[in-house]
Amino acid sequence: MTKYFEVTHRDGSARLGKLRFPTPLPTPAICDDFLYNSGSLWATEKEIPPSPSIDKLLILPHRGFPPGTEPILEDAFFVEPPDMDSPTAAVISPKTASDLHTDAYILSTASHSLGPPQKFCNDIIQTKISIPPDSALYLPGIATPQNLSFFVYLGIDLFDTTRAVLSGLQGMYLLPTGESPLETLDELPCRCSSCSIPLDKFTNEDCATHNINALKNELSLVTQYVRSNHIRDYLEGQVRHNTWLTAAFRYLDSNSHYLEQRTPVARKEGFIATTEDSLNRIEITRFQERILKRYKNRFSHPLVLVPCSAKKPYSKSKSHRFFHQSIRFRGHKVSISSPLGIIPQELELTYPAQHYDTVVTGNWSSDEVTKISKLLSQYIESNSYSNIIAHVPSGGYRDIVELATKNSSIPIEYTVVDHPLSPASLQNLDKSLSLVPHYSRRERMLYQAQAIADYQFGNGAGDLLFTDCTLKGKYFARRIFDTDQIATLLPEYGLFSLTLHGANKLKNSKFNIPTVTIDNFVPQGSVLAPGVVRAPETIRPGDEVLVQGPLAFAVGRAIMSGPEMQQSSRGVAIDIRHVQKL
Amino acid sequence: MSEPSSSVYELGKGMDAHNLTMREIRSRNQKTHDPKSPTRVWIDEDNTPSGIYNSLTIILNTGGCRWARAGGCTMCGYVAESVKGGSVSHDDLLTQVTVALDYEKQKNISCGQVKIYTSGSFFDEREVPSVTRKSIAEIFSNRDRIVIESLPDFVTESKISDFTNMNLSVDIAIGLETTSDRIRKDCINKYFTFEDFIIASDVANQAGAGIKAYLLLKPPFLSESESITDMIDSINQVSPYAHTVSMNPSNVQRHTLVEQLYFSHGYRPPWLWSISQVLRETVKTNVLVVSDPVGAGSNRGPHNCGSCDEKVFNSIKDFNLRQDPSVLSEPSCNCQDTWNFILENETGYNLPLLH
Repeated sequence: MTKYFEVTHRDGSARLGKLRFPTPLPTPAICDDFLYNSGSLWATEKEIPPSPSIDKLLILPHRGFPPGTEPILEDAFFVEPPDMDSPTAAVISPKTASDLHTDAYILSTASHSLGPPQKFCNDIIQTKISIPPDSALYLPGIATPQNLSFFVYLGIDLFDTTRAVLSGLQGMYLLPTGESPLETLDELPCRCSSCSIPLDKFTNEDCATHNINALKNELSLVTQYVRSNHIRDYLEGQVRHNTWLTAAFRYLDSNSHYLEQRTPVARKEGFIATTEDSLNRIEITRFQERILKRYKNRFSHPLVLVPCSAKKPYSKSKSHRFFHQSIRFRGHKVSISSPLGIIPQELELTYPAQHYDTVVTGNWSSDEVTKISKLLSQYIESNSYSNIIAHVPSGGYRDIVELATKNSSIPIEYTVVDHPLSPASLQNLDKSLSLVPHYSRRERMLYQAQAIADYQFGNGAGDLLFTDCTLKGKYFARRIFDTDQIATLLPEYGLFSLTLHGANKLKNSKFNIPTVTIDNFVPQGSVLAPGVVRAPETIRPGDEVLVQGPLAFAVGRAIMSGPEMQQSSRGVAIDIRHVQKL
Repeated sequence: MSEPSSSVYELGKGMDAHNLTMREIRSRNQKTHDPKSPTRVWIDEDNTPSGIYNSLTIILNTGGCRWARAGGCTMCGYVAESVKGGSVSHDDLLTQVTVALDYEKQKNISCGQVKIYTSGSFFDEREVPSVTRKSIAEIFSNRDRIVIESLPDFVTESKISDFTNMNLSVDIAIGLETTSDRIRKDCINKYFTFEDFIIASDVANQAGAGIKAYLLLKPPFLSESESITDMIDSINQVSPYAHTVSMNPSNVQRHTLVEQLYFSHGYRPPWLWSISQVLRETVKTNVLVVSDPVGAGSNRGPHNCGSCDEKVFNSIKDFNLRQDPSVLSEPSCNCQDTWNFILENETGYNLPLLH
C-alpha cells in the first residue's frame, strides 16, 4: 500500500504526482536530495535507521541486479524489503518487480538504456505492470535533457542528476536536442547562469552545472506538456533528434497495448498530427478500428466521399458548407482525411474528429495513400451502398478512392472537374443526386445518435438505447428521452453521458458496458480507488461506466483505466454522475 | 571448519543458482586444448620476501579446477582454457614442463623463482598426481624459490615437504579473493571460508612454507567504492596470515558471469585509480602488496579514461618493485574528477555508472 505517493494527473502513460513529504515533492522530479540509501546487501549486512525521516525516501537494504544477471540468480538472491510506516523505496529489476508495499521502486537495470531499445521498453513495461500503478518509479543514473521527456512519457516519475554531472565532468555538453564535446563548440548555445562564462574559461565542472540546468529546464518543460495533455505532440518532435529514442518510441507504438490501456477515449484538448508517427497515435488507430468494427451506416442514400477540411468540425468549414448546399440531405457524406481515415457525417463531432489538426499541403505520401485506401475499401465492404459519388480532387484523394474501389462492383461517379468547390464540380455533385429523395431531420438526428452510441458502446447499442424516442436539440440530438431522459450528448467530445435510465437499458445487455463493482457504500460525487472491488480490464480513462455495489447503482465517467482503479490505493477512480440508492 | 555468519543465509540456494548459471555459460565454450603444451609460459619480475627475482611462470594445463567444473567462480574463465575431459597424464604434464624450460633457455634468462599455476590446484591429485608433483619438485630443485597455486583444502604438510625437501623456499598461492565470506560466496561463488584459508596458512607455516594471498578487486555486483573498501579491509585482515598479497583487479574473462554482465552493460572492471588508491592506503601494513593488472587499459581489463591508462599502469608496476607510494601520485588526469564522482555516486542500484 502506497502511503506517500499519489498520482494527480494522467496524460496517457505519463503522469504528474507527488511524494507526500511534509513539503510535498511534485513529480516527475529530480530526487537526488530526497533519498536516504540504506545500502547494498551484496557487501555487508545493513541496518535500517530506527526512526527514518519522513521527508526523504528511505531506500531499503537491497541486492541490486545489474543488467545481464541470470533470472535464477535473481530468484536466489532477491531480498524482500520490510514493511515500514515511513516513505520507502525498494530496489527491483524487471524480473523481481512486484507489489512490495513501498511508495517507490528503483530499477537496477537502468544502465541497460545503452542496449537495444526494444529490450529497454519491454523491461520498463514489465516493471510498470508489475508494481502498483500508484507507486513512483525511479530510473537512476541515466536521465539527460534529451532522453528525459521519453522516460516521462513512459510513466517514469523520478530521476537524478548523475548522468548530467558525469557527462559534464567528461566534457560533454548536453542539450535537449543532443550532446556535443566541449571542444567542438565555438560558443555556448545556452543562456543559463553557468553558460555566461566565456568559453575559454568554461571548465568541465561548469559544463556539469550547465547540464544540471538543462536537465531541470527540460523537466519543467515536460511537466508542463504533461499537465496540458500534450506530451505526445512534444515527443513526436523531440525523439527525432536521436535514433535510439525514435526507435524506442516507434517500438512502443507498434506494441501499443501499454499505451492504449492508458490513453483516454476522449478529452477536450486537440492534438497536432504532423509526423509519420502521428499515423500510429492511439487516438487515431482507435478511431479507425471503431469505425470498422462498431460503425454501421443506417442511411439508404448514396455514399458521397468528400475531402476533409482544416476547420473542425468539418460541417463548420466553408468547403463543407458548399458540399452541403449541393448534397442537401440526399447523400451520406463521408470525409476522407489523413491521418484519421474515414469519417462518416454522424461522427464529425466525436473525438478526435474535431480535435486533430494536420498539415494540408495536398501532397500525400504513398504510406498515407496505402493506409487510408485500405481503410476505405474495408469501410465500403462492410456498409452497403447502392452507389458511390466521389467528390474528390485529383491526386492523393482520387488515388485513394480508385485504389479502394478497384475490386468493388458498386457504381462510382467522379464529380470533380478541376477543384471541388468550382461551380462545375458542385453542379456535378448536385446533379448526381437529382433522383435521390431527401432524408428527414429526424432520420438524420436519430441515425447520428445511434451511430455515436454504437461507436461509444458497441455495434447495435444505438438501436437498443434509442427506439421510439424523442430527440431534443437544434442541429443534433442534445437530449434524448423515452419514458425518461436516456442520455445527453456532450458536443465537445461527440460522446454521450448516460442517465440512470439509459444505464439501466444497457445494463445486462450484450454490450457489456463495463460495470465496476464497489464496496458497501453510496458514492457521493466520486468513487475513490480503494472503494473499487473489481473493475473490468477494458475500461479506459474517459469511458462511461456503470457502478454496482450492495448499496448503490450509479453511472459515471472513468478517470483511470480498469486495471489502475483495481490496483490503486489512492486517487479518484470514477466521477459519479447519477446514483440510485438500493 | 567454521560456519560463516548469518550474513550468507542463502548459502545453499545462492550457490546452486551460481553453479547452474556458470555451468550453462561455460557450456557455450567449444574450444579444445592440447594436453602436451602448457596454457601459457612467461618470465616476469617479482618482489619476494627475499628480494626481486626473475620468475619463470608456468600455467600448467591440468584439466582444470575441480570447483570450476562444478560451476565455480563468477569471474574465472581459466577452466575454458583447460583440456576437456578433465585429466592430463603424468607424461603430458612433464612434457609441458619441458616446453617451459625450453622457453626459459631460449629467452636466455635464468630464473631463481618458478611459479606454477594450474588455473586450479596444483596440490589436487586429480589435477597433478603425486608422482608428477614429486618429479616437478626434482626438476626445479636447483632454484631458490617456488610458488605453487592451490585451493586451501588440498594444502597438506606432506605435499609441501616434496618441495621443502629439495631446499626450495615454498610459497603457496591461495586465491582467497576477499576476507569477507559474504562477498566470496555471494558475489564470487567461491566455496571456502576465510577460516579455511587461515587453517591452510597454519599448515603451510608448519611445513615451512609461506602464503601468498590473491585478492580480487571488484567482484561483480559491487560498486567501485565498495570494492576499494573490501580490498583495503581484506589486506588488513589477511596480513597476519600471508607475507604477500597479490591484488588482482578483475578482468572480463571468456565464458563467465562477469562477461555476461559486461556484454549487457552490467559490469565495468575497476579503475586503475582504484588500484593506486588501495596500494597507497595499504603501504604501511606489514604485508607486501603488489598488483599486476591483467589487460590494463583495455575495456575488458582495469582502465581509466584511455588517455592516462599507460602512465598509471606504469606507476603501479614501478610501485610493485619499489614499494614507494610517491610514484603512485605522479600521474594525474582530468578523469580523476570523474572517478571521484563515481566513488561517491555509484551504488548497488545504478552500477555501473560508466563503461
